[in-house]
Amino acid sequence: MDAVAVRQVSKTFPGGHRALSGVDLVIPEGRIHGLLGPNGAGKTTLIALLAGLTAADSGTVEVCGLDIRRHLHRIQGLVNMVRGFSGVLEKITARELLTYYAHLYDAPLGRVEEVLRRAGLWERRDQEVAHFSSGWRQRFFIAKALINRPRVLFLDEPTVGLDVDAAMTLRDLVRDINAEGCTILLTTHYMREAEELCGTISLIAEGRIVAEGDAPSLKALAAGPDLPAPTLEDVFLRLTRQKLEVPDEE
Amino acid sequence: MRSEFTAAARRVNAHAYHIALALRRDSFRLLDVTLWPMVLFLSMGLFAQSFTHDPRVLGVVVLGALGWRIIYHFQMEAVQLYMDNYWMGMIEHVMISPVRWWEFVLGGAVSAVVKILIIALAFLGLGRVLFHVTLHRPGAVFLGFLACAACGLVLSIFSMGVAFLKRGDAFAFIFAFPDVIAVLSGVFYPVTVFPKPVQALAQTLPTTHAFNLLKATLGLAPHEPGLFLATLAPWLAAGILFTSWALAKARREGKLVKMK
Repeated sequence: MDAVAVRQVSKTFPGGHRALSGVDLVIPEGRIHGLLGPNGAGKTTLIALLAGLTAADSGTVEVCGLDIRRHLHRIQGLVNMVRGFSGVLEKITARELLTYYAHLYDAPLGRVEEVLRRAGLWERRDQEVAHFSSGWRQRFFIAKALINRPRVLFLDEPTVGLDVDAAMTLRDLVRDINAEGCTILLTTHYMREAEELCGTISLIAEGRIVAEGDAPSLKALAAGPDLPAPTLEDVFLRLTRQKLEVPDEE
Repeated sequence: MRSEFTAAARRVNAHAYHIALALRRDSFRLLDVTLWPMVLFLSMGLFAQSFTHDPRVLGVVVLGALGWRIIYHFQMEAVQLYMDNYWMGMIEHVMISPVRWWEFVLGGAVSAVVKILIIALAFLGLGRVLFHVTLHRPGAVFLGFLACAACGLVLSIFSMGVAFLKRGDAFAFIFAFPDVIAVLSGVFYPVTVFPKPVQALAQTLPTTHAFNLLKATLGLAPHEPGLFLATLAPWLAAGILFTSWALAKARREGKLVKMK
């Protein structure tokens, strides 16, 4: 079964901003799929659609084989999300906040300790999340995202702003989570990260998927006598005539 | 497999737990059940007592002030939780879960009950000591308070809809909502003090009839529970329709998530 199946999805926000235009995306279960594109390409909108946080104007969205229009409530119990730029409530400890999420997902309270240990946060369980460094905070959100044992996990630029060590630790966690069968959709600016983690990658620009495949097959699209060893950015540039606005690589 | 009922009950509990955490950690929130209600209560009570010792007048101050706080807390708790999460950039983490809007409202109600118990203890205790107000018909008074709670819930439903649509801009409106409604509903006085058009509007508000149920225990208004229910039902139905629509619209417009 496909974990995610998006067909001919378009989305325009009030004010006329067309965020997605006829997007097709199929992710088989168990895969880490990367969505690579510049700011404003439609990556976050696509994740918001899949998470039920917004709705498509047209097309169909299925998650875990369920149509999101008819089964939103069920789907929301099967997915979770980490974003790279979430705020956090102040004066609440990691354990307290995770207890809140355990209740929201009807998860056993014992799961709180499990995910805290899994994310390496057990020693910090009674510290306020608002006082965590960016790396620890992202670990917290990974712990939060695991509270309901999701079948599909959306990672929206999870390593943005992290230092090298924190980003590596997070990537290791992502691999471990995927090894347990969780399908992961990862959006990122970082080409190296996408290549390292993702079995397949979609390149997205101006709300359209412009290419899709594994990293070697994508690179083959741009390869030629003038460019024998292209990078994913070369592929992107060739297909869209746009440069990826890549923030500082960690 | 756990039932959907159990899951919904846990989500309601989640919201009450979250509000309790905020109350415990934030001294500003504690003032909501201590200083501010006491300022309202004592200023109104002492002002009335300086003119009269009529137990009905002092009684209506005690019951009206408590009824007002009941409406306020039943209305505010849920929406405050939503706004807290919104302001801190965490709302998408809540809205991606299988939460339903009415679970916010019920979670807020659980929290409101606890807060109201604290305030009721203070108001009724001080009312007895300072103003010599005793409840002669406690059952009827309790029903009046229940009516105020039901009104607060209906306002909470509307407020959630406004919060979904207006997000950060909603709070000023929502904060003023219960106070304006209480004043329009004749919290300490009959609505006949208003001009005719305002009186007509007041008669359509369930809050007017909820306060009348409280005043009726002092012989200051007719006891008309049927009228209360007749005005509550359409407001409740309208609130449910409005907030369901508002949530769907907010989802379509991407207002349940903070984009970068």
